[in-house]
Amino acid sequence: MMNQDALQQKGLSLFLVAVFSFALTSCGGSSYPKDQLTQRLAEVCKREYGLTVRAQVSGTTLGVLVELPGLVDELRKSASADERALMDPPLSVEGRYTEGAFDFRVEVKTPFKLKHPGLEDDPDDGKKEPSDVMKKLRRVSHIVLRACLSTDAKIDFYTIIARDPGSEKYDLIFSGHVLDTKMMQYYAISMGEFRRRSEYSVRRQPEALAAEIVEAFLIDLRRRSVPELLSAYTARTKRFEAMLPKMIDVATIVQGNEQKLFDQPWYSRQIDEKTVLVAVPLKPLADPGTLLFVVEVKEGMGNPREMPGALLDILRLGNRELLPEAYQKYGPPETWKDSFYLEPLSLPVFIAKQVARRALASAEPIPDEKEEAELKKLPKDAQKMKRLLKKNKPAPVVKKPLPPGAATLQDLAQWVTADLAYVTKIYQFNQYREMSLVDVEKGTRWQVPAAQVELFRKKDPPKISPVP
Amino acid sequence: MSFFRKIKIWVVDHWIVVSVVGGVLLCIGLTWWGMSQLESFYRTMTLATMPMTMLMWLVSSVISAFVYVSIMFGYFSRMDKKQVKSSSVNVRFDDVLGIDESKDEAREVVALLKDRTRLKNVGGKILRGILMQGPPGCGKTFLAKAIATEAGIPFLSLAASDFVQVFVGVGASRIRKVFKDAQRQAYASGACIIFIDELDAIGRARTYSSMGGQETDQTLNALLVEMDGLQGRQESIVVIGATNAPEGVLDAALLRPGRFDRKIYVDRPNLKGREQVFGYYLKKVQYDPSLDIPRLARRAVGKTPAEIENIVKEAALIATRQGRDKVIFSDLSEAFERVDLGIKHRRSMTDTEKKMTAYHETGHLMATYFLHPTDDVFKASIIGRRGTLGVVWKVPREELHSHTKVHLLANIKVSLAGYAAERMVFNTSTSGVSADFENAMAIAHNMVWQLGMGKKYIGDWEMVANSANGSLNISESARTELNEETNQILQECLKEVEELLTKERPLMDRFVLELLRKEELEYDEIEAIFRDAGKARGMLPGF
Repeated sequence: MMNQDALQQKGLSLFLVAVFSFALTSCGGSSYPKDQLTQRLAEVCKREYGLTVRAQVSGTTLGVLVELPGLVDELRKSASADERALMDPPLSVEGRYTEGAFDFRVEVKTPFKLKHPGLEDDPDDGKKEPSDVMKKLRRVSHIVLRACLSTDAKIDFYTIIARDPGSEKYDLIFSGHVLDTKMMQYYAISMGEFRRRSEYSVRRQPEALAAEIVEAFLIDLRRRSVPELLSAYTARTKRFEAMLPKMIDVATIVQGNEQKLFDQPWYSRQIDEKTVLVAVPLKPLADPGTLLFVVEVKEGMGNPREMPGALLDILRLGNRELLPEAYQKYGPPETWKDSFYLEPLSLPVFIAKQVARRALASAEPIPDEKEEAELKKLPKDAQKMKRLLKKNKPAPVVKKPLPPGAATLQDLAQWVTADLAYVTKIYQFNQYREMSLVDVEKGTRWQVPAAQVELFRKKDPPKISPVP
Repeated sequence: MSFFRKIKIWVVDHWIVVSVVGGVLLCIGLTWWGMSQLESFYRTMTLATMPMTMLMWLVSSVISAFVYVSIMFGYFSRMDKKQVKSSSVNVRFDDVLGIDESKDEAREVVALLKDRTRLKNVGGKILRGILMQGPPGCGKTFLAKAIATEAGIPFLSLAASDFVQVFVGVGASRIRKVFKDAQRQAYASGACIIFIDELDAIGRARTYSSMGGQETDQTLNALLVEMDGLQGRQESIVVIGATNAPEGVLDAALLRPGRFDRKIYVDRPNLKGREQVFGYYLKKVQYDPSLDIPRLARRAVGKTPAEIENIVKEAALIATRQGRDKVIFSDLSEAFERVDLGIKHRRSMTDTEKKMTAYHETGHLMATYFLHPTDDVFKASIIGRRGTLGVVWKVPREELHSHTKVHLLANIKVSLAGYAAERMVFNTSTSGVSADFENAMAIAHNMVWQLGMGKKYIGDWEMVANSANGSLNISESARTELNEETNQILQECLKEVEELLTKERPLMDRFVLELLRKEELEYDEIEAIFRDAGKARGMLPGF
């Protein structure tokens, strides 16, 4: 009896120890404390996968920049293999959130029909062996998601910028909401839905773009006249009178020796969504100073026929002269290499873009049957070439009548409103007063107050009429 | 040094506890380390699911423990066997009626059980098993109860199907359990009877195949071992088994001496037995004292005591329905009819169909009356019963245990008479002849193939054909000839019947008219018509 009691007591003690241990474990702090979030993240990437990343927090957005050589080639390969990518989207949808309202601008190019995107995940997912570049990208993404989930910092969004440091300067950007990540972890949403909620975009690297603009300017100093230079390189927000003396000053300094400036490294730093600082040391011209160009760059891929940006300002700095006060917070140009600009995301903008993407994904072009029949006769490679050429051709001016089964803008307005109702419900966002959809070409406008958008969550939503 | 030695001795003495505690601590430690390596989100997720996981683990452990303990302690082997004390059974030999020969054998068994001590002193062995065989409803269970009561020993009553269970091995386990209980009872009371009803459920011949045989083989093996296995039993346990199945169905090992030593065949009661049974069951109801019980017994040829009981109960219901407080002969007569023929079911028939049915049944009636050596027609009816459109109820005058060729041919003629009548009158036949043909063909086939009643071949050719490689044992020509003989018998019988019906056509027409008018003709009415036509055989005594 005595032994049995003793054993029971021991068993109980062990049980208590176990419970206490678990309690201790559960009370442990977060794996990524807010004051060490970026540092820890970079350490984990280095330790687990040997990847060097730069991490930053901006507002409630956690951003990571990783350099992946060969990224552009990889994107090209997948785009050429994917026939869908060669099909021109039938319309463009731009979503914004301005002054408390969601605004969607639509430009229809070709007839389209609306269909729900497949609920199933990509059937090829998991079957193909991903390339090394994509593996690295996935690993970084995984670590970023883990950091977002396991930090006590207030992080609502994450952005991953994958940069190809090669000759073609492109960035691949992923953005997403931490809530979606949690839901995916809990298997509340599928992988496909998670991807639909995330944002993917490709852009020219702003720093590289700005440097190209400066380089083009310096070359054109010799070739073009002053009025032409002013016209081509002055940002719309600036007055020619302000820029003229600065341009002349630069021309005086360079005196046609711009090639010497190209042989040395320049320093670029993006300071906001559209502005990049480019510091060009004048040492090759036996000048200890630096020329600081403030460049405005255009978003996205840009139009190859247009200038990708313009100059906002040109400053001449003397030897060891500090940057102007406005730019001192960015530190000396030599330190710009290790930093990157992270646009802080906001929920309404994120929602607007997501709704626009969903609308775009739902619009399926109605192919010209005759054309398709002709194309199908050709071998596959020829088909791809033709589609590529068609993609780059501007849309025909003469609009044909809508084929049977084609959706109208009225249908699209209903669709977008329903999508908005769905997405705002996901993120529990109600701070908007209305939603509007505008046909850019005809100017027709559909407007729905926020209270009515709620009704689109139900089965038989009301019909929206265009605003007279 | 001594401290370390003490520790060492303690560890050696308590190595189990030390191992368990060490193992538990190691598990806890590993879990703690593993959890600490997880990132906080995943750690929280794991902790969140842990309580539910532990609860499910606990529930599944409880269920597994329950099942394990149940199997170990034989809960699945438990069965609701009826353990009946002899005093509560209270069935005496005097209560067992109608099976006197079987009763005499049972008395002998009881005498052996009562004198078991003296028997042991002499050197004899007590009976191990008694097998009661016979048609259902003849009183096998009743006789077993009487044996238990008269012997004054405990009586465990079971059904063999109780041993057949979903789980393999449970049947055998239950057999062992029953015998163990019986041993305890026998130890207390000197002997014990285990009565297993429907023994063929577990006692069928065992199958030997590479697939392992049936689960009931295991149960049977257990029974064989318990009855007379390697370990001899000290206590007197008598197993009484009851079965309807023929002896050939049961396993030979079960029937050998040393197991079911005695075989008591409980057959249908004879005339005297039936009288006793009628008297017994009628005493349980209010009946007219002037009822002629011998007459009832004569009518109930081939009936078992259970059927007689059923007839008496049915008669009581009929009497009640008709507002009488006593059972009279007509109630019993109607009860006979209801039990043998079934409840009337009037169908809406066209006149032609009714007429055809009337001629069909009249054919049977006349063939029975004129050609059958032993059977009498008690009733002819064109009211449907049990799926038929009409019926001729014929009953043997006396019990016969074997049938002559004449008798069998008469049965064939009676069966074919319906077809003959239809063809003769309407020049066609109906689908109603199928059952008659089946019966006639079965008899004719048996006569030629099994009973040697054909012209050329004698012997049991059916057995030869059904044995292994049967098709090789009989030549095609022999088979053809046998079938031809069968057909010849049928043709000859048909011809004879046709001749009879042609000759007695006016009488046949008269019967048809009467049937169409009255729908049913009783024995008296049938006899009256035959008498009127000058063809009566004479009524049987008592009828």
